[in-house]
Amino acid sequence: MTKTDKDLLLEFVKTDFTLRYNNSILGFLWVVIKPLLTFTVMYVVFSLLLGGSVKFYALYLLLGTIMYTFFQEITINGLNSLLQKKDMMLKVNFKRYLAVVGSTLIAVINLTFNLVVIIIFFAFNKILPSPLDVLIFIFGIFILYILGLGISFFISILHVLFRDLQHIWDIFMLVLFYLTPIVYPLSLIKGKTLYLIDANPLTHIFNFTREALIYNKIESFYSTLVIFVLSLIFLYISYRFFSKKIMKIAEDF
Amino acid sequence: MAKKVIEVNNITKNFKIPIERRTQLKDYFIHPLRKAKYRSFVALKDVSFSITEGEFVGIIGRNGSGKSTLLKIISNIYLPNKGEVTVNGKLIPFLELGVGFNPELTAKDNIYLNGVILGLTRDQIKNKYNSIIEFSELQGFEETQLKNFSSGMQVRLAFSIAIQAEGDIYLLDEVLAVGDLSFQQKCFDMFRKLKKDGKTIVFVSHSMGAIEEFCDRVILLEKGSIKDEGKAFGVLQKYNEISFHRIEKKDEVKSNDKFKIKLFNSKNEEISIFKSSEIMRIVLDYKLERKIQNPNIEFIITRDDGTVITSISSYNKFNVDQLENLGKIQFEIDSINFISSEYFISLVIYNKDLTEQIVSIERIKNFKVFSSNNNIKGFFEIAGKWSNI
Repeated sequence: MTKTDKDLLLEFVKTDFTLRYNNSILGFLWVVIKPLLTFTVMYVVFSLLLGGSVKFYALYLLLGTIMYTFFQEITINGLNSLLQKKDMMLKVNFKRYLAVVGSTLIAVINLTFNLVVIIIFFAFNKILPSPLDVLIFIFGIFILYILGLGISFFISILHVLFRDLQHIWDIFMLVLFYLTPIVYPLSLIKGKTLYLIDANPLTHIFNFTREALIYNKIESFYSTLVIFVLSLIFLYISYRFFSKKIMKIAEDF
Repeated sequence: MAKKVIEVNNITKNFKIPIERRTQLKDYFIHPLRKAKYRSFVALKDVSFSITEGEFVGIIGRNGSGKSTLLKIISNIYLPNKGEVTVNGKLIPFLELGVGFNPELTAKDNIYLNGVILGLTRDQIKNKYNSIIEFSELQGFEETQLKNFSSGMQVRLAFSIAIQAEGDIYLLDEVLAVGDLSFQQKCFDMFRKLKKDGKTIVFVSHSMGAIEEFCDRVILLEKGSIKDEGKAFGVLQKYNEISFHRIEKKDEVKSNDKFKIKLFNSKNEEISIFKSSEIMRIVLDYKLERKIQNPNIEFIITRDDGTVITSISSYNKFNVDQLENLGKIQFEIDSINFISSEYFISLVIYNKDLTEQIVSIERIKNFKVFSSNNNIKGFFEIAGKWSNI
């Protein structure tokens, strides 16, 4: 990546960020408020349903919500990244993948703000994760990013060809939310549903990260490692797909 | 031999225009087996040319002749269906001013955003920031959102950033179409500077004056292929013929009377592009099946927007007994000192007392004038002399 490309990426991220939060009264506080509100609603509803079956349920739910919001933001931003910049793309020839990467980096920035909330919650519950646990958390986030970016390269192209993908993706993300152990613990699921949830890569990443950070346990280590390798391969394939298709779809914008 | 910086080899570009638009997945669920129908539109057909370093090349052609598509293929925005383009050197496309401008951002943010899109680094923009603000005359508005700027201010800002871009090859697509006279003057100054610095420039424009002034070579596109190529004056002549051919067809005279107007210069060449101060002979060539007694002939010269520049009437000046069979009548203008533009001649033939129009043909002929003096306001330069007394 040349200096010019880096600066272009930086300006894309800066612009996105300014546009999103400059004109609202609470500014970028919304970044933190949105997942917190989701968390609160979920907490009220599901702590009643699940009772006290999960230790540190608030923390469990919060961490899951914030991680899921992160993943959701990457893919939704990625989905819209090309169409959003279509005017630019029809006039200037910059490296197209920067548009996708730039839009996903916004999700990373938002996540760092939410980390503050997570730290406060941990302090409130008097839990101090070990350095290894923190490292595991960072690794988990990294896998989520790699997976999300891979999906983004793929669906950003598809979105240019199929403009209703946005609605389909929204529904898909809602279904995926409930197929990931965020509001419920994995131990509560039995029977055939378990296969479905087990087939979801997010389940393993979430389980691995959360168990380490909250309960100081190592779980789903090998499956997460496999998912990490698969995500890297998927990212490579989808980037190749993106590079091959991007020039051909220029006239479909 | 000079280095070739752009080589275009046998470029063909088709656009698929869907008859039935399919941009939604839904459509594939509703009619999974029906194939989408397309109409193919050939935008460019087997176009080849090359441009050497330091050349200023103009591309002209009517709307839809493929000029913009060609620029987009050279800029690597569209892929051609066939053929290939080689570009040696850093290419800066100006297909539009202010690409990426966002109305919600401040002028400062927009300068950085537009700058990096044009290939500058943030450090370079930082160094040039003051001169950009100064040149655009926007001191004190740096933190104002772009949406609060007038369109003139926006164009000024965009242009000020554009001139800071550093490349070897510039593609300019009708950048001059916007802005007032003083802005256009600034654009011309920029062109002169680029030309002086030895940059290669490809320039698409409808402004014949600018093409004539700057271009070493002009390429004429018509329906996606190269119709003519060479020195500006000759190619523009050809372009004018093509354009006029279209107009002539539209205004065909229905009766059997035939009127034609031809324009000649002092060397007795029939042309349609004149340099101001040249002699212009307007020749009316007629073929009639009836007699018109004591006609008064009038040529009305208008601009494209319909503004009448002047009219030339034979009333009280020149007596014609009658028009019959074949014949020619001419009016000689000593020097056609109009400002650079395109003009149209309409023909009207009145009866003896100007009470009735016998013949009226609008825009029977068009012509263009190039004036080297671009400082004149209004429509034409008045003949006269300055002196001390």
